[in-house]
Amino acid sequence: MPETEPAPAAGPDTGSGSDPGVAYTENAARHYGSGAAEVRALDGVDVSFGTGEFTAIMGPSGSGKSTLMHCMAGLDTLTSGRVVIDGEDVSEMSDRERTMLRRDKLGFVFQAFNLVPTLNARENIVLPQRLAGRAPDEAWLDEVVATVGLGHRLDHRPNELSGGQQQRVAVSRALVSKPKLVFADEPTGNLDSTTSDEILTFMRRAVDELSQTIVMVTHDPSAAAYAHRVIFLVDGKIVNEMLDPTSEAVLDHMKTLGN
Amino acid sequence: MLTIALRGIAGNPFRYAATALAIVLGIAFFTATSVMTTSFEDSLNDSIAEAFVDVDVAVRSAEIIETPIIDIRERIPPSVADEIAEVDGVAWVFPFLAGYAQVVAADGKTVGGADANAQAIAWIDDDEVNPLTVVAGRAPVAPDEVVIDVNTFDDGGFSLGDSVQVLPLGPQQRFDVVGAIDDGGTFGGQVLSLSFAGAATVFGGSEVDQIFAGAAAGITPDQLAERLNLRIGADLEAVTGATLTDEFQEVVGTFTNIIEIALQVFAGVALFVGAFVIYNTFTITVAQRTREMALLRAIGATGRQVAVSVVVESAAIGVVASAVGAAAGIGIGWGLLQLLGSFIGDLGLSLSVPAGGLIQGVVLGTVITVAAAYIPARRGARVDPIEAMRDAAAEPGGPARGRLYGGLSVLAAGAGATAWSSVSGEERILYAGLPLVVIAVVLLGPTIVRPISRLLAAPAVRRGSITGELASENASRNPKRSSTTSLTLMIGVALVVTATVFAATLSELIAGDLEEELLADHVVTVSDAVAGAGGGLDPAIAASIGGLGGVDAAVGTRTAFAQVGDGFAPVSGADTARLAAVADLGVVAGTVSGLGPDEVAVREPTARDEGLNIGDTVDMRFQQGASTVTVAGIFDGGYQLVGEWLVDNSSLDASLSRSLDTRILVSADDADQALIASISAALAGDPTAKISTRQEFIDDQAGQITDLLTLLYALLGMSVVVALIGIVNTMSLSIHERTRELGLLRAVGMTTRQLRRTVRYEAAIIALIGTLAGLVLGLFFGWAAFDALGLAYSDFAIPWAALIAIGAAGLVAGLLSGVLPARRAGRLEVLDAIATQ
Ligand SMILES: Nc1ncnc2c1ncn2[C@@H]1O[C@H](COP(=O)(O)OP(=O)(O)O)[C@@H](O)[C@H]1O
Ligand SMILES: [Mg+2]
Repeated sequence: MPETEPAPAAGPDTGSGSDPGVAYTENAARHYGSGAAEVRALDGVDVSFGTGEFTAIMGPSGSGKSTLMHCMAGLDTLTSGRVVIDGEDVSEMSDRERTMLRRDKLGFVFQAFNLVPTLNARENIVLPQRLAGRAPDEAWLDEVVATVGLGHRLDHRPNELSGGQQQRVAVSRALVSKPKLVFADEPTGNLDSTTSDEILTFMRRAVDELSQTIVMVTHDPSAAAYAHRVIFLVDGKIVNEMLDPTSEAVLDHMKTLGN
Repeated sequence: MLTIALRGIAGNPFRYAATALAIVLGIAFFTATSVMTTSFEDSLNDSIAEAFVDVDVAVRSAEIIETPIIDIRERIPPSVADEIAEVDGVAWVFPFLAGYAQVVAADGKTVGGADANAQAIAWIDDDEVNPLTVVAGRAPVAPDEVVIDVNTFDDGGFSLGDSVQVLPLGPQQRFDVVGAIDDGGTFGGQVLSLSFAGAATVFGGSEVDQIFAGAAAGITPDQLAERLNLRIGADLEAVTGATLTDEFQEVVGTFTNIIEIALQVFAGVALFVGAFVIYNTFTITVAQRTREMALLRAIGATGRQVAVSVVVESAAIGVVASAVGAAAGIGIGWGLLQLLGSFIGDLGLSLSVPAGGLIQGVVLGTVITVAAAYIPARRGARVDPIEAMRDAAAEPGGPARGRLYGGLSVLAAGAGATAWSSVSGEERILYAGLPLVVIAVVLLGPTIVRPISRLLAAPAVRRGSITGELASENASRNPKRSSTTSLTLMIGVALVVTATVFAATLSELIAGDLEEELLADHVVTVSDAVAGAGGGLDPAIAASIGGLGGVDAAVGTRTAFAQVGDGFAPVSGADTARLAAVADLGVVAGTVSGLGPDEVAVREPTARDEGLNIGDTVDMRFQQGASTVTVAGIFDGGYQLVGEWLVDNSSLDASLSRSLDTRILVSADDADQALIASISAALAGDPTAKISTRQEFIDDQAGQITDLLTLLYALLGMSVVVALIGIVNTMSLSIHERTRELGLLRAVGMTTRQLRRTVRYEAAIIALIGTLAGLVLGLFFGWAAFDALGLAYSDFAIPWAALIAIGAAGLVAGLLSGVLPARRAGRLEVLDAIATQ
């Protein structure tokens, strides 16, 4: 059975140096429409995410944050450029291969509607493994569930859970298959600040203790402060990067972006 | 609001495709029925009018035997013609004489197979009056000359000058083919014509059906009829050609009406099922549009206006779909007409489109659509404006407890009533039990959806199949919706099962009775078509088989229609002296053997109904002769062999110009191959005869109901198809509703294949629930119908193989009906789905 104890607390690999990282993009571009109506949602993005790194992506609304994430996860296809995940070029994959990639190597947390309403919390958590026809690692499942603090609500269906609880289930699902990379698109966007803090703390623990790699889109400077680094996107381009962010620093920087 | 309603359709045409299709199919069926029967009736009426157009007056017997369809009139002596000819004002007279006859082709076979409709009439030597026209050669003059309708002439490969055999006469008696005729579509099928003397030979007598007369100049048909009625005897009557036409057309009308009503019952079932599909569609769309409606309410629309917008929407769909259905119905009706024509023979059928039927169809379809949408529309009116502010509509909860208890109590009441009726033999309570059980099933539907879909998915879930599990959860997440969808299928399946069970039971009863009562080892039969046309085998054939060495007895049986007492009844004739050797009728009183010409035996149920005992007398009137007969025996079996009334063949010979055997029951050593060859040789002169072993005959008789069953399946098929469209519809709407969820599933790693499989499974589960409910209910219906006939419970037959086949068909149909929605789900763009806000 693979590692069930936290990985050694090595510092995150920030993608610099010789290691290209778990995932990276090369000159990634995604254009919608054509002619005068053309929108350059991504306009030549080069970014890399290292193992065990927690990255926040920030930027004004419409700056291409979600698009970057969707293209990296094989939910959307690049107009030009490359996305490589775990050494494989996503842009060259078939629909089925991309599905397998998402199922086996990626985890997702969306802002809302993360859960299948007909399945209870536990079933939602193990859904990707069930889809793959694999038995979930029960010990690991117990640990994740205990960490997220869901133990007694596992038999409840989503409509019996609060928004915060639903997001915890979603985070658990994203983590339980030990993916190479977890994408979270504004995971705390619908939550009050106390609940947000709980979820973010949990995500940070997953990074620190389990060497999980997480990429999170957020609008909230205090959420970004949980990350190792923040990337700022404007009009489909990376305009800045900040290491070991604090919410004040992020807020200040955002003001300079004129947001 | 009107604009909103119509935009609602335009904006989402696919949503209503299934609704529209359900109506289109139902109305097409309904209209096709009307188009077909109207065309049939009009075409027949035209040729009837054509046939009698030159007949001014017909003189015929005043005595009739009333049958449920066409009355049988006694025949009259041809000498009446001479009497009439002398009446002042009569320009011409021709005797009309028709009956069964059939030509044998050079290969020794009849033309057009065993089921060909065949008739002959005596040639009328007047081009004006005669409905037949010579198209090649000439008219028959000598007694041994025959003309053949041109289709038969060509199909049978005849040539002028051929010497042919004409059934029912034997092969020694030859006729010369002197011409080919066109019958103008009056009769349909095979038509022969012979000279009057020739016809008299073929029909075994020269008594005529009627005598046609023409009026001299200056006298109207009415006046002539009046004048003739004063001159002829009281047992005769003179009517005008117009009256004849009216009478025939009335018969045709009655007949086509029966067919039309029977077919429309099935169209009605399909429309009833369609109403459920519409109800379901509107229920789902109103639920999906709750926010939109709430918004309308919030900005000031009244509940009434919201409801009206839904009703207008349904009316628009109803009108358009019904109109399309009616138009399609014309085409289908025309197709059915061609099919009918090919069965009956060339009747010159032409299409007539009944305006009334089309309007009826459009109105009916619209009314059904609006009525089915009304309840959902009312629900739309009750949408609270606050819903507009709410987030996604809450998942509907499970069915109410009240429904479960209510349903169970109704079921208990229904079961109780049924059980009581079975024990006490009171049929009426069963009729009460039946609707109660149906109501209970409808009430309980939503409560059983979840347990049954879990049960059905259990094998897949046990294998760890996530698709099976999701399918089962999806099928039961909105139990009312799934149950309404599956109940529509249940209706069709229940009727199919009822028919199947009933047919199986009847066919086992027939087989069981024959096993017991038929002692003969071989049975010679003619086809139903030949028997129905009054044909059969010359009695000499039975006699010659009886004379073969090794044959114990060869008993010819036949049937004639008679007026018995006040009513109409088929009366069987048999060689009663030898009958006991070939059939055990189960004599209850008196004797059935060796009946005298004035004696009759009657089956017990009829004897009981008519209050007849041994020694009582009954009046019997045949087409040519009446007599008062004495009840000599009462029997309780043999229904398949001799029906309700049995007389000796000698009685029929005395009352009919010619009576032919339709069966010969032969008792002989059944292993003797040489004997069978000799029997076949004795039959060689009549190609309509067929010899079967006892077992073959029994299987044949028991299997005849299967033909009817096939027809019923075809007619009920439409309801099943509409119900399957309903499943496609519900699934498509549900998928639309679950777009975001499906996107999520795809995002976390569900393959398109898994997604499609989930959708197909869900459709299959819904279809299976409907099929299973239909199977149970159908068995119950079948049993109820069976019970209502007062048959013994031990005879109730359950055709397991057929029921299993129906269940399997339900599963396959369900999987198939999931294919389209599954494809749609599979094509879903993950990104669009998760981006939908
Ligand atoms: N499917 C699409 N078609 C056309 N334009 C799109 C589509 N998806 C996104 N866009 C455009 O691309 C840009 C980036 O969008 P997105 O990545 O969703 O921004 P963010 O998540 O940063 O708010 C926006 O201008 C948006 O309007
Ligand atoms: Mg976004």
